[in-house]
Amino acid sequence: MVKEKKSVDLTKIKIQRSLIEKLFAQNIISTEVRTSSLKLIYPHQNWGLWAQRLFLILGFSLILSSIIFFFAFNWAIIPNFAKLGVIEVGFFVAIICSFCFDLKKILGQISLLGASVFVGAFLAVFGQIYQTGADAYQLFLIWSLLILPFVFISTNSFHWFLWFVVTSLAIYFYCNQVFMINLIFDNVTWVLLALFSSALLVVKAYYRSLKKIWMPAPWTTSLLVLATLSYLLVPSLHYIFEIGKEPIGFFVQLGTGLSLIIHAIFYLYFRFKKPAIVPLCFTYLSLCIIVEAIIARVILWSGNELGAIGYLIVLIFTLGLFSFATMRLHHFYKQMRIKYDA
Amino acid sequence: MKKIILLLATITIFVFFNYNIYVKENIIENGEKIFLELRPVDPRSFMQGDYMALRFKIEEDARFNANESVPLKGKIVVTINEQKIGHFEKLYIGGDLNANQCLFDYRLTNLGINIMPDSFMFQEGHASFYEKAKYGVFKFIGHEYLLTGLADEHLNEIKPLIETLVK
Repeated sequence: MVKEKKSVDLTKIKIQRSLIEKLFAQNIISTEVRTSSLKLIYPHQNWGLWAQRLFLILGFSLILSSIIFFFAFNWAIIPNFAKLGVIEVGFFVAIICSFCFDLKKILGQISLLGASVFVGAFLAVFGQIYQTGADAYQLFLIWSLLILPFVFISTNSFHWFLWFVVTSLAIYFYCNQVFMINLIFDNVTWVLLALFSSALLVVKAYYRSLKKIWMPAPWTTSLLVLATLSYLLVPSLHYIFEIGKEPIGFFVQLGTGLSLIIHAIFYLYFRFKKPAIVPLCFTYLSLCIIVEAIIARVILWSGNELGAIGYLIVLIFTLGLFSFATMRLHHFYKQMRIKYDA
Repeated sequence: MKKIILLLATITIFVFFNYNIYVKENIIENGEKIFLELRPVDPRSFMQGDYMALRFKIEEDARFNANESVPLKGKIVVTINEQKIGHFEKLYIGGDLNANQCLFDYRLTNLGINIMPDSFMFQEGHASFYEKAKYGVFKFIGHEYLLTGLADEHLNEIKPLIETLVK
């Protein structure tokens, strides 16, 4: 039986080290071709570029932290206008730099990121000087709103990450200080945070469908998935351990329902629609924790006096559950690679 | 388009920054000075790093005089005597104030009625200067006020002696 040859479009094959090594191992290419190919796809100047970026980010972080320490240790002797003036000057220098350097280049992006950090520094110093006694959520909310246009025009993922952290803190402190919510037992905060991070995932997917760039780094998706699942774990575990003991609150029920729906959506999306192994790993890990909690609740805390045998059953179940999850993920990863290589 | 957004956002931030500085500086420059007596609290929780948690006597007075249904947020009417020291009058339920009265914002927390701001921030290492604080010093313009410092029992505003720290 003659095996039918499958035609492959050469332009669609992504050249990377593993492919060159595979061709070399099969004696399809010579040592010289292997060496020159590797030089071509990984030029030796690359480390210089990497070091340049590393030092740029490091230098910028050190300048910003030195400004903060300078203020902290000379607070009482620096006049108020000088404190605020230095930050405003820093803000304007950063804005001018981002104007002069293209925002598509790393220097322009880092400058804009620096301007956003200066906005936060100004608000913090302003609150400190004038003893405004403003709630922490107000600082983070104003910071988030003021830098939103910068985040919108920036293509830098770290800039987006800053905004994500600032806005999440605004939501967290708002629930804590305005609703006076006990953060451990009331689940409004976690549900709101989960809705926020999952809404960002939807926006990112929408932007991707329009072929526009926002939050370009793949880790941003993984981070949002991890954040959403972590927030929803709180109401889910609350539900599992409290059901039957006391009346379950509305937001615990809502969070648990949302958790089930979001697990299903993440599984289907990252398994079939846009395969990605890291978000899938987080989804499996979160599911394993929930299933583990159900088993522990049923076997150990349901009133059955199983004692040591109960713990042994849970242990065996845990080993089985996590082994099964690892095997499934390994299988998916292999499938994704085959599809990718083809 | 991106540069227009950048420009507009920068102008907005610049105006926001400087308008707020103007408002606060105006209160400091032209505001009327008022003292509020501090309530002694457990010294172990009095100093917390680079800020002091403040509890005012009028908070205690308000708690004793208020009925159970105190709103989560509101205002306290404070009457000011000849020494410019403020005393609790009543919870504000609307209406005009006398010439010697002013309003302080409060929030109901786990600790009871809290006057805002409930902390005074200072440079790290300056805690010893503020240990003798007996009054919070406020400046008022209309209904806007700022906590501008702390004062000792003789109503003298406490200023950290930088020379002492340098030695």
